[in-house]
Amino acid sequence: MKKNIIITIIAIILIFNYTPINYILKENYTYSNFDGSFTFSEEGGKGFNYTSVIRAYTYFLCQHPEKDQGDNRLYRTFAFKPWCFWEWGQMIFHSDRFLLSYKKR
Amino acid sequence: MKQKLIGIILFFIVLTACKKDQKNTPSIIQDNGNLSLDQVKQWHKPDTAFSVNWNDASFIHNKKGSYWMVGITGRPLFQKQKLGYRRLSFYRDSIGNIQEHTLEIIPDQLYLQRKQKVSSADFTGRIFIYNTSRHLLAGEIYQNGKQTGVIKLQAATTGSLHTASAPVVIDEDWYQYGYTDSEGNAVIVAEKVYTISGGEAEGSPGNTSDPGAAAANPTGGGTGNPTVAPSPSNLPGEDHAAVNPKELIKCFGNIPDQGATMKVTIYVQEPFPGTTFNYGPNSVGHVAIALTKSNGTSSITQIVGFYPNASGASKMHAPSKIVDNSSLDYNVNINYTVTADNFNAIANYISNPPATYDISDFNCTNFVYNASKAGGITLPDPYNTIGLSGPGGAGYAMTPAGLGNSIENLKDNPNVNTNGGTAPLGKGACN
Repeated sequence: MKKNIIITIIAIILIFNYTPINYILKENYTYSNFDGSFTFSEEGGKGFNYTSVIRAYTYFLCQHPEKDQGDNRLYRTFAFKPWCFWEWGQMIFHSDRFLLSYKKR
Repeated sequence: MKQKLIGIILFFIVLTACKKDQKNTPSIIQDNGNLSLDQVKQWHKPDTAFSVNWNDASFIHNKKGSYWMVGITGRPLFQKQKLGYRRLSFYRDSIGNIQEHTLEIIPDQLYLQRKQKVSSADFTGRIFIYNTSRHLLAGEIYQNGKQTGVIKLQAATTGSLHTASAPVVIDEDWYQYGYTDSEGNAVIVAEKVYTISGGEAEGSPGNTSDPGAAAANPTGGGTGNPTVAPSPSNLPGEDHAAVNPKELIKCFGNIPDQGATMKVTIYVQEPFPGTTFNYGPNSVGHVAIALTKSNGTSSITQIVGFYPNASGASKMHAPSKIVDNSSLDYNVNINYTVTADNFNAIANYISNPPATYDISDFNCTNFVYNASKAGGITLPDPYNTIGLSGPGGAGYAMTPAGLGNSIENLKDNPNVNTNGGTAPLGKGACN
């Protein structure tokens, strides 16, 4: 009985993390620099990923060297919601984005 | 025994953690006897600065009370936009006197853009409630027709801030900001959003406004048509996420057609590279289209994709937006050299994208396929099986997986690249 419950829970977590259901639930991870002059959205699994974000921000800093002075950190503007089990796959295997400091939009 | 004790302690900790915030703003409306519209008209003192549209008066009766609601001219300024509208409510208080409140109703900009009109069932936004002395009595925040927060006057800083409505401080749970009411006064308020675990917010504070009454049918008041979606929203960062395709296409005008080389490239990020699976490590995948115009040493590239302007389940079917797909990681691409006429036809299609995104009926692949077709290019077969076989049968739709697979099958052609890479940077907007 206990084994069945554990298997069911694992199956639900996998289904919500690795099937098209995840596309529906997936958050549009959004980012910003310190003053909001740079913003980026991963568009919820349609094309962009965290590497795209870093690439875009690097390009932005090259184009706007004045923004590279002082606080040039990239911030996440999405809230970290550990209870969203459909994001656990991203949190475990692509944790970089969650380690960024949070900045309210 | 020890485990049971720990379990009980944990249970109470969870119960305590889930306890709803106390909502202690006083209720405003009292229901006390009948009130006719004629009585209201006789009682109301006309204001020369604002006119009341009595023709759209409606009588509201709900569990919070009974009251009349009419439109009035004047629009509040919120986040630098004249966005909201106003209504007056009249009711009898507990001792039978007629009372008047002004409701300033400010729909959320994104909600208004998506829905194009305000409805009671899903009203999302803020409602500010004033008395006749223009004193802010209460404010309410709504999400999908349900109250999710409260607004109070931030007396400590009143008058010391400008009206730009930029957020100024976060004080514990209260979020402070300013806006300009319909009479041009700067109002500094603080708001707090609380969580509703389901159903209606019991005992919602000052729930006089009831979006069903206040927000719905708000065209009265002689303010034109305040529910029309605003032009480009000034939500932070929104401009960056979506691009105006016309401004991108405009750049090509900087290079003369005469003697120019024009190229169209289709980039596909397959969901599960090398397969026809519609879902994989790259989620549902993506298809982007790039236009390149070169003449001598000048060259301009623009690369765009078609997206839903929504999140969550709304992504399935939503208003569309065009996004700059510079630096997109792709698995396969195919390119074509086209004439100026065909190039311009594709550019024209991109400039005027379909208004609606649908994940199966008109997604990023359909957009790129149709754009190419407008320029006389027939892309490799983009159709793929979607859904599950069984009752109702499997369906077919244009998908990144379908197009990617068909391009992979052409890998010996000189205009096909199946080694993947990163798409170039687009030039961006030209004003």
